[in-house]
Amino acid sequence: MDYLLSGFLEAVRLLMSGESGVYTIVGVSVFVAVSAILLASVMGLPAGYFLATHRFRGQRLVTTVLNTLLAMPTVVIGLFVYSLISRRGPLGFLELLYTPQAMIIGETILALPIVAAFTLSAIRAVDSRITETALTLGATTAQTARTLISEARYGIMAAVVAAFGRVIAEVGAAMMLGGNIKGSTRTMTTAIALESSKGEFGLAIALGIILLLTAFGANILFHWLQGFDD
Amino acid sequence: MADPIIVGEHISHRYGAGFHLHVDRLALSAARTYAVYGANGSGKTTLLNILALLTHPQEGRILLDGRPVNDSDPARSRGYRRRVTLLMQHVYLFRSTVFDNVASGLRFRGVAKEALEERVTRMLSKVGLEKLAHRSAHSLSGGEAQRAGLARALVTEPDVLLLDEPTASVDAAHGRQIEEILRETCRQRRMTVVLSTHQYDQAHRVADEVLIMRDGRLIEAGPENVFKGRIDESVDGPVARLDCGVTLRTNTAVRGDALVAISPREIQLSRSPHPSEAANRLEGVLSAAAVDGDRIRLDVDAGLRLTVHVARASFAGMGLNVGDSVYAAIGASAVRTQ
Repeated sequence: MDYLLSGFLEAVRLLMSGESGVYTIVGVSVFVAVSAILLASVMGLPAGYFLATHRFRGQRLVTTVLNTLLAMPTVVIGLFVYSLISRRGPLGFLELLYTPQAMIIGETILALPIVAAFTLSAIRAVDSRITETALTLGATTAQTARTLISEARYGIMAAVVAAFGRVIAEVGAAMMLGGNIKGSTRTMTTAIALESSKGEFGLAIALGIILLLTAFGANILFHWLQGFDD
Repeated sequence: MADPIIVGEHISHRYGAGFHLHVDRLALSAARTYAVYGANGSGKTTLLNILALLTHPQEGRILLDGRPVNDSDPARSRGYRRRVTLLMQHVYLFRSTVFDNVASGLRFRGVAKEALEERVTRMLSKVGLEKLAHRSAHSLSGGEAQRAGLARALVTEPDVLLLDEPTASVDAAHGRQIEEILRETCRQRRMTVVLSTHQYDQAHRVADEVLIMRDGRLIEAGPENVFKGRIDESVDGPVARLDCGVTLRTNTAVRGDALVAISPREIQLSRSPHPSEAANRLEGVLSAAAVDGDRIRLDVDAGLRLTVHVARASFAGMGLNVGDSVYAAIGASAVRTQ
């Protein structure tokens, strides 16, 4: 048990001193996660809105596929993107493998269904009179859409926070697409995996504490936002 | 009379195999107040939703100022809705402050900030919500929410205001307040108001014209219990001397020739001449009885032809049959002038 205790004490020391590039690793993690969430939001919010407010053929199939993608294993996403951007893949000429950009692509694919599906649920859950009320007050189509999104804002924010929580804690795709290169693609999760395998528990525990606090923070924010949907 | 502002022609709409709304022609004139009176489920809400372009009728068309409204063209239907607005029975207030809610219609129209603030503040004061302007709209009581919804509709100064049972979900005091706001606004602005209600007395109290809706159809019906007469002063106070020869005590301040109305819900019927506090007691014969929704509509010949509405349960308890003698008690305050 001594090694765990000494690992914890080392973690506290690293967190206080910022040695071993702790905060560089945290920075890479946050940069990749935030970039992926922004991209996923740009695509997922309109997609969720469209699915919630339009009727079309095959809608049920699209919704089912979207819900299935929520449970997609991250290593499968890693494998899929890897096959596209590896040197022999169709996008190999872009030389994206083992770059933060590759990780952002993978994490965006991971976050997209979460943002879209939760946005869909959030908009479907709001009062059906919102659209009618906006229309009777003379709103344009765009103003009606803005009103609907505004009324569902807490649910939509919860969708974004839930996706962030999933992306920041993900390890499979980040490892396969980033390659865990120090100072470039090493994130909190990949560093924890590496340091644990080396028996360097100090850094692993320090990063674990930060990751845990981040995940807790995202979860608390998620539930706090959902609380507004009375 | 001037050309109607809105005309509905051959409007037909079905829900499944059951309910069928069919209105052959409906013409609404400018600056008049209409009440669409009918029981729950008679088609009032469907009619108002069609007039607000929220429901597209399976047949028929709506004309505004003589021109057909094409509700498949968003720009034209928006133009219509900016002149014709609807206050739903269960008003939805947006997740923002009372002020922002009332301002929303003006914001949709791109009204400048200063003008918007001035108009919203004036309207909030008119409906008595100026002190709650910065409160969350979702914290309002039912009556306050209904007034906020009314303010939100009125502040856009529509040509036609449609109100679906505006007082059904509020208490009597708030209901009177809403009626008073409507009356005052109509006096100040040449606005057409169409209000649906299941309260017969409200329909006659508020409207210039009462349209009766039954089973999805607007039916021709004369006003119930409206008599020509004259209000005179007597030693016991004012009395209404009706042209049919009957004299009734009243509280009205009007004097001279008048139309006298008695709400069918404010007439008490009994089989025996038991003592009553009512100022007017008439003896008559029950000449007809018909089921009308959740109540019974009775006709009584008592020197004048009176229509009386009683709840089904009360009627059953009376054990009355057509041809029976009955006594009608009418309070002085129930004898009103129009």
